[in-house]
Amino acid sequence: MASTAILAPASAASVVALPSAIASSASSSRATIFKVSPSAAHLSTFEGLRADGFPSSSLNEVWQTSAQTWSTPRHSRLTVRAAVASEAPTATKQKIRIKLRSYWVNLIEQACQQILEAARNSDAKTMGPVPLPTKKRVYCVLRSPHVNKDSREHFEIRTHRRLIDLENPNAQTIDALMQLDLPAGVDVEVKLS
Amino acid sequence: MGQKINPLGFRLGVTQNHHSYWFAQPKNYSKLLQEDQKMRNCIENYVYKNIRNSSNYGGIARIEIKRKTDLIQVEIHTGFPALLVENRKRGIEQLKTDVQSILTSGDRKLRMTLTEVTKPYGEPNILAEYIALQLESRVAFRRTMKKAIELAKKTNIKGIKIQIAGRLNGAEIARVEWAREGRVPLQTLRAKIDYCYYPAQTIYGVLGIKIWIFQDEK
Repeated sequence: MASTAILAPASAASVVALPSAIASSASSSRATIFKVSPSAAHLSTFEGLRADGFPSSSLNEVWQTSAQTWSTPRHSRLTVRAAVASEAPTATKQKIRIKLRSYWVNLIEQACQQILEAARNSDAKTMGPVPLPTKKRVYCVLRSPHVNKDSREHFEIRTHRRLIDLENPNAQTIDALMQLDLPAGVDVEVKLS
Repeated sequence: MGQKINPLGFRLGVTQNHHSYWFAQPKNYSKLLQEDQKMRNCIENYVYKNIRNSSNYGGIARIEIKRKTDLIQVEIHTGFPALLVENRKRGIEQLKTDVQSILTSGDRKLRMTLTEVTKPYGEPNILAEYIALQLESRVAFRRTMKKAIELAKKTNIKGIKIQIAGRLNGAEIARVEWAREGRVPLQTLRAKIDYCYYPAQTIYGVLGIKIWIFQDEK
């Protein structure tokens, strides 16, 4: 069933895909009112099938417009569903997700630039380096070798993280990435999906 | 007044660089850290045993360890590289095999390089070794301190402070003596200050040598 993901900003593909699912489910379960599901249908009917489905309206507005949606006759909803279905993505895309981790900011930035250069030279679509929140591990230790419990010192380890997505990689991209020599001190995790 | 924080640790994000560059997940971190420590001890022991005699001293300024997925790069910054390579390449090969034998969980390549430090007496580690050698051959400490300061002043540094603690000149009561030249602003973060602690083993006990060298200010 559609979950809370709908109210959150979604990428173009998912918003387009969801209304078709929601419209079908909404038509099936008319009696129960789902707090979240009508909003997607609301988007498709009232915002003219725009690809970016940002539900900027507040929850109250969504309730009011959802009430309107429920009362619209069945055939308009079916037309919505048909129109939306044609915009569904045609081919499945292959994505490479690269996750970089490091304790040093300049090293991780350097590594990002290297990866992006290699990817752009071989014509792959890149989703630029997304900085994920820095993780901090804090250690509190006693300063003294013996007694003096009240006097301590904090040390922390900061892990900086970056995310890079490459879409539709060709063999050239993968070759370039394999040959890359990233600086030591940067941990790379690659996932293919 | 209070205790002084180690100036290297104080400036780690600012004007001081780390000596090891690697990333590890928390479960592997302690193991890699211990390996690093063992490697450093191994190198220093090797230098101490084989190379250090009454006239020479090892002269290692710092050891940098960089780990990539299957490669470990060890860079030894030394002030007198000729000492380490005197046996015509056999010297460093021996060291390399020694270090390799320490590395558990093998099939990782080890690459060891020697880097020469210009102006070796501008590095506190090398200076401290020089002082320790002099003290162990029972030279008067005040003369040693002055000589060390003179050696350091020939390189372009802006300040130096040397502190020697322990049974100076074999006295029964230990005391602390220090000598300073120029300025050494320990509270200024943007001041690049190199620090080193080195113990000197004498017949009377251990003398602790601390050296602060103020390189420049950004």
